[in-house]
Amino acid sequence: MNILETKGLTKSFGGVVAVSDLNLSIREGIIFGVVGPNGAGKTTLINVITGVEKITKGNILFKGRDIAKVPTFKRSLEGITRTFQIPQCFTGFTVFENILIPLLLRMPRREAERETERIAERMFLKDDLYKQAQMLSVGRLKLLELAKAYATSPKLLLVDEPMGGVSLNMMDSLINLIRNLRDEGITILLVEHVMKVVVALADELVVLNFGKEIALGAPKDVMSRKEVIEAYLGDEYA
Amino acid sequence: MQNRSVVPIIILFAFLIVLSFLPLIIDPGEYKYLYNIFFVVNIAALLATSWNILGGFAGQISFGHAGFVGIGAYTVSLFHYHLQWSPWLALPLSGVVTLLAGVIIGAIALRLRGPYFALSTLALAEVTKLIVEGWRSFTQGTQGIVVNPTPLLSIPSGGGLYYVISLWLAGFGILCALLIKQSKTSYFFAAVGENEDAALSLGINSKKYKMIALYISSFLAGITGGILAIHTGFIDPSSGFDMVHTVEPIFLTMVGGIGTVLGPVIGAILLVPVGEVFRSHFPTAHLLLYGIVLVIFARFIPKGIMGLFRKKI
Repeated sequence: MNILETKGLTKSFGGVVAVSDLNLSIREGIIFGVVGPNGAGKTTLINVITGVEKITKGNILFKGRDIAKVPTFKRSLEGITRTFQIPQCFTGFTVFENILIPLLLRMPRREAERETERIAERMFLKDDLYKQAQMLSVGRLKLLELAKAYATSPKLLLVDEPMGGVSLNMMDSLINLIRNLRDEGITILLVEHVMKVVVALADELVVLNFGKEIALGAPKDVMSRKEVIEAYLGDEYA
Repeated sequence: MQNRSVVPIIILFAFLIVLSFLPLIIDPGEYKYLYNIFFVVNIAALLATSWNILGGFAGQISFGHAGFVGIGAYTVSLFHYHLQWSPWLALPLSGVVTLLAGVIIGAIALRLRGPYFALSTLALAEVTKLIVEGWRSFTQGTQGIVVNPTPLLSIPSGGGLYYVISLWLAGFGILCALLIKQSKTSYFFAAVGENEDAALSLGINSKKYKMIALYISSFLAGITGGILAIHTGFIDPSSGFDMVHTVEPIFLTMVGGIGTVLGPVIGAILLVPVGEVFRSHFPTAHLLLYGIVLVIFARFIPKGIMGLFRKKI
């Protein structure tokens, strides 16, 4: 069953078309990779799915229901949550409080506090629990960003470049973590620049260029296609 | 967020009850000036608390509190002038009418973020002042309105009565702040104030929480205006919508500790008496004093006096 479908999805900023007539079907319980060169429309795709940007044309169906007019916060409450490329943690709060905030919306306080501790342990943040978020390294902030999103009990998690600025050691932990989240039943839309990571994680992959789909399928198959190599490396390598 | 506890509420009420007996110990008739300062401290604490709920708790910086104070002051004055209501009877209405104004202002200003929100509140306060000035048949324009002090439950108006009423009004403001701080809402306020996009992505209805903060804040600021009108006995656009009502609560909150329950109160208790003494001897020097203190705090103690303590209370 498809958890998310886009039909003729288009987003323009004035004369610039960031996402163009995109038809995607994302099956429930998979990691769906989205790659493409800079300016391909990857983050814009996340923005329109989460409602941060309004779509120009087309439809977005979440579990078969058109959500194009549903506000961002309601999409989150219904199970669509994102992480940001540059972590958007609440720097004035501790790690504990950052994870607690989304839980407080969804359950009583005592239960939320217990769940916060469980999530912190699950996300390798237990040692940082009472540190101010602004004291964390980039890698730990990426984990916190993921922990906050996980605390919303997402059904569809949109992860925007989780490996950016992350050390190699941390990268392996993040790869395992994202795979485990998929195994828990969370569908993941993964936007990532690091090809090694995408190929290792994605069950299905779409390549965008200038907002258009140029290839879709199994990662290894997609990455060997001529049009994909052309988009990434130029005509002479294709 | 503090853990839910009745202890701070009991302490607050104990303070209010004890301080209410002050007129029995120090004669208000003899120490009129002292009671005037007590009154000014109380309403400054109330107004600063009102500003802090919106600007400190919810991170929505308002430059329009003079507008809320003015609307509250004119509510009392107009009910008194046109319908011959006792100003005391109209006092609760000053909060309600200002809250309704907050609903209208919120519908316009809360679409905006950050400095744009702040500037829109300033503009809306000025527009309200211009309407009051221009609508002479209803508001008496720049001539102003006299509010005759009337007894409250046969207690004659005077320093002691104003002191006790303003004390309990300030206590009510502190109670509101305390209850917010002890609730989940304080987290959602702070999250929206710090990063609205992140808050939305986690499911927080930012518009709803900004509106709640604005409505509570406008209600308290309106009450401040109402009691001010009764105390001064006269209101005109320049006194009701005086920019001091915008600047002073920000200043007191910044010095006391923004985003804390006690910060605005500490700011008012420490600085208003000094300012009042300065004002009586050098009419504009208190503003200079405020300016110097603010620069010192901004440079050396940016989190205010309460920030010196580890935990926010």
